[in-house]
Amino acid sequence: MNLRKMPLKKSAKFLTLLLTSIVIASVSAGVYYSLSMTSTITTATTDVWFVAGDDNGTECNVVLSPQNTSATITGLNAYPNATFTYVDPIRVKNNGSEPQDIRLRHISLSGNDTEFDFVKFQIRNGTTETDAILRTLNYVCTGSDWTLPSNTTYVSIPGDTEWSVTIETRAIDDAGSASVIIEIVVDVR
Amino acid sequence: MVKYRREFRGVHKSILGALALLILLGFLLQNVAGSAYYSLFMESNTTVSSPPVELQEGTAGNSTIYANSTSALTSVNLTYPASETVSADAKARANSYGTQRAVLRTTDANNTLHVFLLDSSGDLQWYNSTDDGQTWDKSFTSNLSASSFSVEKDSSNNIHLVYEASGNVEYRKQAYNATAWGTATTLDSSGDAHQPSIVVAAYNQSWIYVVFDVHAKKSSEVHFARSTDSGSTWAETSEDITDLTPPNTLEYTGGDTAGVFPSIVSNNTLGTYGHIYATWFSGNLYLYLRRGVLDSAGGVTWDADDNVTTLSSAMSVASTTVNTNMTHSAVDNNGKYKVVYCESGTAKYRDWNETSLSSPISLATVSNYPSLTYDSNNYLYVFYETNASNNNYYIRYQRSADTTPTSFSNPINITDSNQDNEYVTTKIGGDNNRIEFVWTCGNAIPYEVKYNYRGPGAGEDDFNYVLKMVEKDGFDWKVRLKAYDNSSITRLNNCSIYIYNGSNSTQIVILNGDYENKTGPWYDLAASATEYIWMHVETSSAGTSYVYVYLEILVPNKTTYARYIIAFEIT
Repeated sequence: MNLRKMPLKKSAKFLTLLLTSIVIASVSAGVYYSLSMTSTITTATTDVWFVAGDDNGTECNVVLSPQNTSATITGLNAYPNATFTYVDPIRVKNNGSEPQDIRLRHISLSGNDTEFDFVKFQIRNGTTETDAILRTLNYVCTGSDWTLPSNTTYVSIPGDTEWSVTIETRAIDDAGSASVIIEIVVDVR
Repeated sequence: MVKYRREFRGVHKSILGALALLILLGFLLQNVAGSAYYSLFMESNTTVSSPPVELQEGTAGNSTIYANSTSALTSVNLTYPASETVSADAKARANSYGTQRAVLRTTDANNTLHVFLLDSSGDLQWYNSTDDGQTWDKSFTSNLSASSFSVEKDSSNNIHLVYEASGNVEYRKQAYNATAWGTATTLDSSGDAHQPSIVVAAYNQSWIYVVFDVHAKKSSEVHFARSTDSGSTWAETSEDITDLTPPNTLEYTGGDTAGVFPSIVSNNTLGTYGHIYATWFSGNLYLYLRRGVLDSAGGVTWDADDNVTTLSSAMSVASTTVNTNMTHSAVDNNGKYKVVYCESGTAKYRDWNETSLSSPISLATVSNYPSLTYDSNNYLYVFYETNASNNNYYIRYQRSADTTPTSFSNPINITDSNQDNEYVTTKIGGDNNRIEFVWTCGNAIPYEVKYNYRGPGAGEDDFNYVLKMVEKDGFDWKVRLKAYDNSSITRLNNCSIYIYNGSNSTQIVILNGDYENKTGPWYDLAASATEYIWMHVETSSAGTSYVYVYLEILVPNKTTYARYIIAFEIT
């Protein structure tokens, strides 16, 4: 049998070889032996967690989980035709000595989709208004729906540092009664 | 068989290649999947709420409040009154030089405006207006020949006139509504007396003081005369206040000159009975100031030689032809002696509080024949003529940025026609809430004498108030204004925006077309309170400017704040 003389193109030949190799790999995987491995998983605290910011307590309320790994912020206001800024409602704290990469990622949104202009979550390079905004997760309401933001890129938070997550809101002119719940996460790697 | 082996080796190589690819793919997948991370979960609940503060319309300007009372457009308009002709038969300057025009207001029922001028025949004419300068009439027909003069009103609305007639200095006292000239009293009959200046003492309106130039060939002096009975009798009419203890002298003896152009002003806040200040051009570069201390009888003790103040040592050299570098304009205002004078075509301002002499502040070049006055808030105005951007002269003024003053605004044109507008003279003080002035217009005899004014509603104004802020949530806040954008603000000589409720908080300041302050200090807005926004605006020319401002409303002791947008339109 002369395989080279078979009327197959090169790509077909390659595909055949690939499938053959997969079959061989599968068959050979059928014959195995085991190495024993024991894993011990213990609970540990993370290096990065939330802490309440200076703006907590009057115009908004931050409730943190026992390990500060989740937070609920209630009482946020959006005013018609006026931007309302909470510069420092909640902070991301890197309690370790090594830098960590963090990003903001959308999870879910529910509630009204007509009365808002936007809700923004912004990571600041510090905890004051003069500190630069590094990353923004911008939820824009089109009047009939929300445009959901893509994940931000990662940014490195130095060790032993706190950064504010600033929240900006605005409702449309003549906005009626409405509320929106937005769930996001801060990914840490 | 060999052939078969070759084929098999080919297949074997392909299988190895595929395996290598698989391993590579596996590594790649493992690397991607191996980016371990954890996530911190955050939930936010945002609710639409009514604005905590409402913007509402003010009582000045024209404000439009937009939806939800969280943004506004505020428009203010300034007007520029047209110049009115007082007389079309005037001399630009008389042969012997000195003041040729004067304007003042009396406090009679009509707040009558008075303008004195020399007509083309050299006669002193008296015009009056009882409609704020819209129309003018001669008080009576006059053929009183004069060369230069000075007028001053007293608190009884008498007008005291001194004038030069053929080298003599004469005095007349006139009721504000006189229908003929009063009786003349000769103060100097030497034939060498010129350029008289008169003042009524602030302390006692019956005390009247006069200085005048006496110059003969190669000698220039300042003489003084006084009356303590409202002009009925006069004393010391030949006292030479430039002739100090020998060998000191402030007299100029170096050559012929057009005169020493003396002035006299009165101060009521210094000394028990007030002080008077005589100022004159020495005849050779210097501008001198000498203080006189008044006593209980209206007598004068002049400061000793060593206390004569040199205001300038860079005036013109003596000349038989009058020029701007010989003249000055002095007032007493807000407890200080204040003067403007001209050095090489640039007017300069100084003041003296009897302890220190301020550093000169230069006004714009060219600023010839400056005339100084002040408004009811003690801001200073320097009017002058210039040819800085025109072939012929035109009239400008500069307003002080504050009452100190630390600086003056950019020049603001009164006239921009190419008709030779010169020799502006201001009314002293801002009574009737107006800065009023007269000048000559034209390029040949007879000239016109024009009248105009500035002040509230005329090229500048206070707009109090344009907006108000009403707290609606029942909480305390802090508020401030923050400018974030603008257009065409170079024409804004002064645009100051304030928050007010019992005390002023200066928020935005634009001076001479540039921001002096873009962000105001935080101002308390108490629960349920109302605060007001007002503006002061001065413009240098017609046009429309916009200043875009955030009204920031801050939660006290937090960094949580709302931003409203207010657009200010200045037309």
